[in-house]
Amino acid sequence: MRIEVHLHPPFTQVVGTRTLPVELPDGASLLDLIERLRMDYPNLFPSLRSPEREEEVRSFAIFVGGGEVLPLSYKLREGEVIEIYPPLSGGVVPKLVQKTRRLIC
Amino acid sequence: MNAGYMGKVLFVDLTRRKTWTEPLSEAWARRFIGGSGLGARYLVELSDPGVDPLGPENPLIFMNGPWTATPIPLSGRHEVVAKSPLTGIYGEADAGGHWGTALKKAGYDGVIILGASEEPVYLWIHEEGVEIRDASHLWGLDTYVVDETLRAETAKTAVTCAIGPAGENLVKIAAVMHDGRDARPAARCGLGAVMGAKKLKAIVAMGNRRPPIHDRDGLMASIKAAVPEIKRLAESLSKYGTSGRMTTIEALGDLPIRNWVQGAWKEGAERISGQRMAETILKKQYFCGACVIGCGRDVEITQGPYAGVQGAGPEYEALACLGALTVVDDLEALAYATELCNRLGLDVISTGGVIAFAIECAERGLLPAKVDGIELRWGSPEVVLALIKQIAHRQGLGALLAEGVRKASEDIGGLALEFAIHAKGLELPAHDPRAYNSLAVGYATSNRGACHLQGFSYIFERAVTLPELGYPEIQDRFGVEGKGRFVAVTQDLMCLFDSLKTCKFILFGGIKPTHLLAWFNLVNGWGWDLDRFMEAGERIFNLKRLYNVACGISRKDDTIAPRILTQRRGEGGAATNLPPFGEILSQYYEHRGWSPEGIPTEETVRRLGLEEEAGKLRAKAVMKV
Repeated sequence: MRIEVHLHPPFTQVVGTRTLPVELPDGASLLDLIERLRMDYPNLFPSLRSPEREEEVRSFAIFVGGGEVLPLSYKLREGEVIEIYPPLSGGVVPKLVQKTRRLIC
Repeated sequence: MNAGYMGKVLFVDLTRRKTWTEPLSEAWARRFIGGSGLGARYLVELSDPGVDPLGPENPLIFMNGPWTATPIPLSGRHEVVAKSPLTGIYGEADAGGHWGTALKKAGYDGVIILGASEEPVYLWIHEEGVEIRDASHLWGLDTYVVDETLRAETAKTAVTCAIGPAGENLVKIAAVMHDGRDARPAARCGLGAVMGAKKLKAIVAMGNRRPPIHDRDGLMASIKAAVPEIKRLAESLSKYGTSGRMTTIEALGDLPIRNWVQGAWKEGAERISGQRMAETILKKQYFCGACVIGCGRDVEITQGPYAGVQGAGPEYEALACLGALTVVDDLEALAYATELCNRLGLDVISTGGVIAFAIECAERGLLPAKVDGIELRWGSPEVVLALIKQIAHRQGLGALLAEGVRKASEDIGGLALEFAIHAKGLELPAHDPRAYNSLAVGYATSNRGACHLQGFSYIFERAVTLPELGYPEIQDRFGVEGKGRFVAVTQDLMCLFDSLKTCKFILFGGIKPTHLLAWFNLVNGWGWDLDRFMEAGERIFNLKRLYNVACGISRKDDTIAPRILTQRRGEGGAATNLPPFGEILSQYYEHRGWSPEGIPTEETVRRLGLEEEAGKLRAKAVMKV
């Protein structure tokens, strides 16, 4: 299936365009789209380490469809427009919590 | 004294021109921590809830937290507390920068200003002592000039806190500004007017002391482990500042536009975004004390009509309130408008709110279309700039608007009351409760009036989790079930931030309550668990509520402007949602242990150990409960 990605600054500067058609297998999820984008454009989210973690993904980008923030499990549909906006905040790092606890206890 | 504290508070009586120090009460520190919590406790101790906020009997309290001047990331903050002249209830404003750190390094956990001077004065606080100095040569000057003058008079490395002409003129939306051209405001609640009423133009601080730390090695190791992750996760905030989220906020229906009537403004949001700023006027980042993110913007405009702007650039709230609310999308004009507010000493949120209100009044024929030669219309930078100056000097229409939207709407009367967008007299900040259900009850119950940071709940409805507090997933922004408890929990947590003194933006760097608690115990060695920690936040929130109850506040006041509760945005990201206010408020009261009228019950007061404070306030209350 083919979907359309609409990029907003600063992501437009990395990709070089505002609109990007992306071909994905039927049944693909938002996470699949993110993985594809990371492969095609390694500089799009260079510091994102755990794309499967909802909270961490939202530290680097907000994926919006139909005016709503989409979860990673969201199933994409043929012809759909997904907008990529700058992030609103940061995320959880479980490793950090454990490390800090060890230092304290 | 306990680690984390300097152990003493400086008192200055401007009426008697006397200064002295008192030891910080350890018992109070253990119950109210510092910053906002201790400030509220001193306010209860030192004044009656019925005092005139601009009278000499209203103390003006500057309070550091146990983390100010420690290596804890983002801890360069302090709180300013007094009864608010804008709202007539509990008032507080938090500030970043380096002034709080300088005060603590001079040797003080806080400075409390009593009485009022007859002539303008400033304070010079350093390790060797305190001086009350003449400030008649500074009266009328803007905060940038005051900072330059005072650092020349005292020490180059000293840090200044000052009011501008707005505070001198007792403008009810006047801010207390810090750090000169870097312009870090304690903006909300009109505390600049309290300082102006005391004829206190500035406080200059400098020192080299540091608070003791219980386990310095443990703390440093923990911080060292945390900092790289904070930097990685907050990378975008670092690069584009708070307005780097402008387009996203607009897309989600969270940006207030045209006095909260318009639902979408895509191109406008892009034109005033942090990304656009980075491409144009941004010179460098600004870091408050101990910050590792640097969301502050330092800008410079070298040509065009606004050439000469240099220093603190507009943050998200400034761009949204001075810009989106008035439909002005000229980034350079808004940078100039922000610098004007900083120099004159005005709260950008309330200033934008009253200007948008005035334009709507003119549009509806409630104010003349032209006031003092200015044609009041949307999208006009000239209107915004002219009204900022008029408000600060109480000239023309400014005399009306200087009182804030609630009083202005009461004076104009009629329909104006319908679109004065405030809660308890404080103008709404630039996050829309129609986009995040928690914000409606959050604004309505915030102790200082409408405030997004007293709960900061919406960040947990869009991107951040709080697993230790029962929220392992990002919350549904349009949800209802359990929302009342959620609002209360986030308020309690933010009371801790405001009292420990560290920036809430550290949450964007992956820091959770567990980290805060760990650092808390490493700094002061008290060995608290999470329940006790959160209970302190709840105690602090309830203390302020008890103060407000004594001022006459109850359920009738726990609401927000009707436009936000009943009128849909109609387009954009939250086009149809209206917050289910009554249901969530009811849940909230129940969770808080307040009566249906919004009064903390005897049992709640007892559970939180607030009997002494409740007794004091009851004896002095304006409203008998």
